[in-house]
Amino acid sequence: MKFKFVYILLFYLMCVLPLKGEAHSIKIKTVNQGISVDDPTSETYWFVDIDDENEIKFFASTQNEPLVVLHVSDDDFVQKVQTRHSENWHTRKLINAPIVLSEGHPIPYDWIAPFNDEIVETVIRKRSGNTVFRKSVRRTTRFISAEEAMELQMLKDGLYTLPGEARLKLISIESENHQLLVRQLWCETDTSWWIFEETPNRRSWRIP
Amino acid sequence: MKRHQTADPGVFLEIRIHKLITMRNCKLSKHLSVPLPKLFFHIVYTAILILFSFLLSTQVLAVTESGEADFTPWSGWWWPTTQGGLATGLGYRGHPAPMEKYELLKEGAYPGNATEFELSRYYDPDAISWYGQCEAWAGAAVLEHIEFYPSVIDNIVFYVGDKKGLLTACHHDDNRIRESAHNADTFHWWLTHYIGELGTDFYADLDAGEQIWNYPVFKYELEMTENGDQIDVQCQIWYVDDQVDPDFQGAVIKMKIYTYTLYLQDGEISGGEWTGNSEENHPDQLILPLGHRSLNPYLDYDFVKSIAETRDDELEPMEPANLSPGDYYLILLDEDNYILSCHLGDTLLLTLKKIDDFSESIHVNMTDADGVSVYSDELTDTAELSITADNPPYRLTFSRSDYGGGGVYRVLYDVKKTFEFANTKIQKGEKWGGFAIANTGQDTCDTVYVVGYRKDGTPIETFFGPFSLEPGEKKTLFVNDMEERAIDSGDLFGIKIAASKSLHVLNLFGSFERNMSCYSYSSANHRIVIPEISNWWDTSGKNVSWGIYNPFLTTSSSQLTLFSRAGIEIDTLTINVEANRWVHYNGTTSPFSGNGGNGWVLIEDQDDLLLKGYTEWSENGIYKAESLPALVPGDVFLIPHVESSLFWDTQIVLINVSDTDNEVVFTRKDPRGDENRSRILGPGEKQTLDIMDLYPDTPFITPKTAWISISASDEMAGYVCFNTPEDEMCYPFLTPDHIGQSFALTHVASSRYWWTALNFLNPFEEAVAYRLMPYDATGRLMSELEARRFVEPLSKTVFTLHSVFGENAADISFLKIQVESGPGLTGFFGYGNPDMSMLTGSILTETILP
Repeated sequence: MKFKFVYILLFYLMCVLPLKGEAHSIKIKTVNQGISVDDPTSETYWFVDIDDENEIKFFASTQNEPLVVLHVSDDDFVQKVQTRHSENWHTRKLINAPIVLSEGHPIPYDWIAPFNDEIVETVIRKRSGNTVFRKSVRRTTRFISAEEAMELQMLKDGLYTLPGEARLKLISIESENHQLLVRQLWCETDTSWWIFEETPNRRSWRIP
Repeated sequence: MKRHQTADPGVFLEIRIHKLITMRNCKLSKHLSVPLPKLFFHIVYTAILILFSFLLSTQVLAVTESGEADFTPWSGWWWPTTQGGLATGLGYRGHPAPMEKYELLKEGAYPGNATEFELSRYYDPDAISWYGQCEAWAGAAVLEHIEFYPSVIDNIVFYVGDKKGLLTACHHDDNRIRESAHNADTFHWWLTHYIGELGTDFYADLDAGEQIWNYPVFKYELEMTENGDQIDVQCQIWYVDDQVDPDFQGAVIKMKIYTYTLYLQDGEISGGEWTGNSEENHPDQLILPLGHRSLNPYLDYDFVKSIAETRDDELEPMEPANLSPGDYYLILLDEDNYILSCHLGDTLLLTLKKIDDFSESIHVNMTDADGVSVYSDELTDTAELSITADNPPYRLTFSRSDYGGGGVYRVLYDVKKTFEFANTKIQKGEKWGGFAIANTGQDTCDTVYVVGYRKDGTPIETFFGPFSLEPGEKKTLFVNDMEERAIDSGDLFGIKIAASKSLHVLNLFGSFERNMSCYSYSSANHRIVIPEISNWWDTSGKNVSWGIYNPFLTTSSSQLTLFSRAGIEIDTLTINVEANRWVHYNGTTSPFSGNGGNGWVLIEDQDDLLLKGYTEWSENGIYKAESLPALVPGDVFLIPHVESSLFWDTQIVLINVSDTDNEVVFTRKDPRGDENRSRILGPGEKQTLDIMDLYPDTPFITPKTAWISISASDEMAGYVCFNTPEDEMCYPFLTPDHIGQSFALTHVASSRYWWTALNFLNPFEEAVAYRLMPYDATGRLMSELEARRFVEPLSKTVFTLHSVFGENAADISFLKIQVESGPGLTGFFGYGNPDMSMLTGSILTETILP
C-alpha cells in the first residue's frame, strides 16, 4: 500500500505530464461503417488539438472551427463537452465526469479515463430536460502485444510506429449487458493520445 | 422548439406525476380552474375517483408529453439507384437532369465530372430495387431549412425536384450522429433531447425489415404511464415521406405509433425495451446529420445552396418588366406584367407555353396603350399570337387563381420591324466578326434590337438593345460580346438587327491574317440565284455554304433547281421556307440528290414572295473566304472596275438563267473608245472568264478609267472578283437600280494597317459632282473634312480614303456620300490590309432618307 503513491506518481510522470505539456496536434483517420449495403464505408480525417489550457479540440480536416471541444480538468475529469450541430453550439456541463462517450457522434471524442485505472464501474448520466438517463458501464484494461494489436487491425503498417518495445494498453468500456461501447488502444510510453479506437459504428486510427 | 407535457384527462395524481417525470418547460393542465358553484361537486367527485383509483391500482400514472422541431422537414424524392435520375433524368424530366443543369449553369456545359461521378456511383439499372438516396434526402431535409419554389437562373429552369435533388446529392456523406434504436430508452432520449429539448429533427430508419428507409422525424407525442419502477410509453411520431413527385412542394406527413417500457432506477431512466408490435417493428437507426458532406467531389455545396434558395425568375424584380425579343422561361408565383415596347406597324409575335408543373390554367391578358384588351385567354398548353401594333406599347399580364405550386411558363417573343438586317454568319474567337450599325438618316432611331435566333427561327435572346441611334451615330458590336446563355449554347444560328427606321449595317468577319468577308445588304426577289455551291465530295477544296431567308410572316414554297456548270438541270425540288426563318446548306447538307459540281442554284418562290439568299465560300475552309448576297437575274449590268496586273486579276462569273442560248455583250468603256466582246452561254450554263480572256490588253490600259457594261439577250446573273494571290474581293454585278444620289459607307477602316477604298461609276454622259461627308465616332459631321469631288461622264474613279483625308481618315467613323449635281452614281467599297491577304468589299447602297 505504501508503494501505491509511488506508482501513482510514476504513472503521472509517464502518462499525464506529457499530455499536459505544450500544445500538440494529432491526426486521426476514421472509417465509418455504412448504414446499409448500398451505403459503403467512408473515411474521414480529424485533427485533435490538445492545448495546455485543458481543452481538447476536434476539427474536421477541412474546417477551421472545431466541431467538438472537451474541457478536461488537471486531474483528468471532463468538465464540459461542447458539440456543434450544424451552426449551433451545444454545451453539456459535467461534474468531474471520468468517462464521456461520444455515443454515435462521428468524432471519436470518447474520454474513458485513460490515466485512471482505479475506475472500474461507474454510472454515466445525461439529461434531457429534467429527465435523467443513466448508463452503468464497466471499464476494463488489459495489456496486449503488438502482434495481437496487428491481428485485430488496431495497428497497421504505415499508420503508427510503436516507439521501441512499448507496452500496449487496451481500455474497454462495456455496458451492463456486456455490450462493447468503446475501446481504445494506448501506448504506455506515448500518452499524448490513443493509437486506435473502436465503437460499434466506426474504427479510428491515429495517423502520422 | 415546442415541447409540452400535459396530464392525461383521466388521471388526477398530478403532483406525484410532476415529481416523478418532471421536464423543463413542462406545463400541467389546471383542472381546478372551474366555476365556484361546482366546486363542492368537484371536490366530492375527485375524492371518490381518487379513492376508486387508489383501490384499483395505486401505481397507474399517466402523462402526455409532446415535442416538435423548429423546422418541419420537406418531402423529397428518394432517387432510386436503378434510375440514377439525378444524372440521367430517368423518372424525372429527362435531360438536362438536375446534375446536368448544375453543370450547365456552373461550367457552361454538360455532362461533366459531377454528372459522370453521379452516374458511376448512383446509377445501376441492375441495382436492388429499393436502393436509392433516401438517406441523403433525409439528411438534406433535416439540415436544409429551405422553402422550395421553382426558379429560373440564366434561363435554366430549376424545378423544385432539381433543387431538392441537388441538395440531396450534397448530403451523401454527412457527418452524423448515429445510434442504434435497439434499446427503446435510446429512442426516448433522441425524441426528448433532440426534438423536445433542442428543437431539431433527426431521421430514422423506420423500416421493420431488411430494407432501409430513412425518414425525417420532427414531432412526437408520448403517453407515459408509470407503473412502479417502470414507465409504459405509447409513442406517436410524425415524419415526412419520400414517396412523392420530385417536384412536390411541402411535406407529406405520416405518423407511426410505437410502444415501449422505460425502466427506472432511483427515478432515473436506466434502460428500455420495445413492447407489443414494436418489439418487431421499431426504428433501427437514429441519425442526426451535423453538416453537409457530399461524396461527389465536383459538387459545390454553396453554389447548389444558392440555386436552391432562389425563387421566381430573373425578370421578377422589374415590375412591370420591359420585354425584349427572346426566349424566356418564367415563373408565375404572383401576377407577372410585361411591357412590349414597339412602334406603330410593328408585328409582335408571341408563343406562350404553359409548362406541366401545375394543373390550373394561366390567364393571359394583353392590353394596348389605352388599357383596351387586345387578347385575353386561358392558357392551358400553347398559344401563338401575331399582333400588328396599332396602339403601342402593350402590356402583357399573366395570372392564375392559385399560386400554390409550380408555375413555370415560357414566352417566345419576337418583333418584326420595318427594318431588318438578317444574317447567319456567326464567328467568334480567332474567326472574328462584328457589326457596324449607323443611323444615316436625320431622325433618332430608337428601339434597335440585336437579337440571336435559332435555326428554327425562334428568338434566343436580345444581345444588345433596345438602344437608340441618334442621326449620324454609329454603333460597333462584336460577335464575341454576344455571350449566349449556357442553355442556348450551340443554338445560335443567326442574328437580326431590327429597327423601325432604315439603318446602314455592315457585317464584317474574317480569320486573322487569313481572310476577310462582309455582308452589307441583301437583294430581295422572287427569283434569286445562288452562284456557288459545292458537295462534300468536291475535291476542289472550295467549301461553300448557302441559304435562303424568308423575311415574311407566311411560309414560302420555293422551287430549287440545281444546274451543273454546263447548264444541265441536275435536280429540282420544292421546299417550304417557314416564315421568318432561314434554311442553310453546306456541302454535306445539300438538299439535292444529285451532284451539281461547281454549278449553281435557281430559287423561285411559287407565290412571288421576295426571298433573300446568300452564299459564302473559302478555300480549304481558311483562305480566300468571300461572301455574296444571292444574285438577282437581269439583262443589263455594270462592272465599275477592272484590273489586271502582276498582282491583281479580275475574274467574271456569268450564269445564264434562261433556258435558251444567251448572248452576252461586254463593252469596255474607256475614254479612248469602247471595246465590245461577246460570249454565248448555253441554257443554264455558267462560265468563269478572266478579264484577260476578254481584253488581253487590259494591263496596258489605265485601270483608273476603264469599266465594263454588260447586256444580255436574256436573263442572266453574275459577279466579279478581284483576286490577289492571298485573298479576293467579290461583288455582284451592279445594275441600273443601284444608281443613286446618296450612299453610306457604314464603316471606315483607315489606319497604318487597314485601308478603305471607294469606287464610283458615272454611267451617264454628264459629269457628276458629289460630296464626301465624314462623321466621327460621336456622330458629329466632320464638316472641316468634307470634300467635293467629280466623276467625269462615262467614267469611274477609285481612291482610298487616306488619299482624300490623309491621317484624318483614321478618325472617320463612317462616311456619307451625297451627289450634288448630275443624274447619279453607283459603285462599291473595299477594305484590305497592306499585303492584300485580307480583302473584302460590297456594293454601295443608297441612303434611304425618311
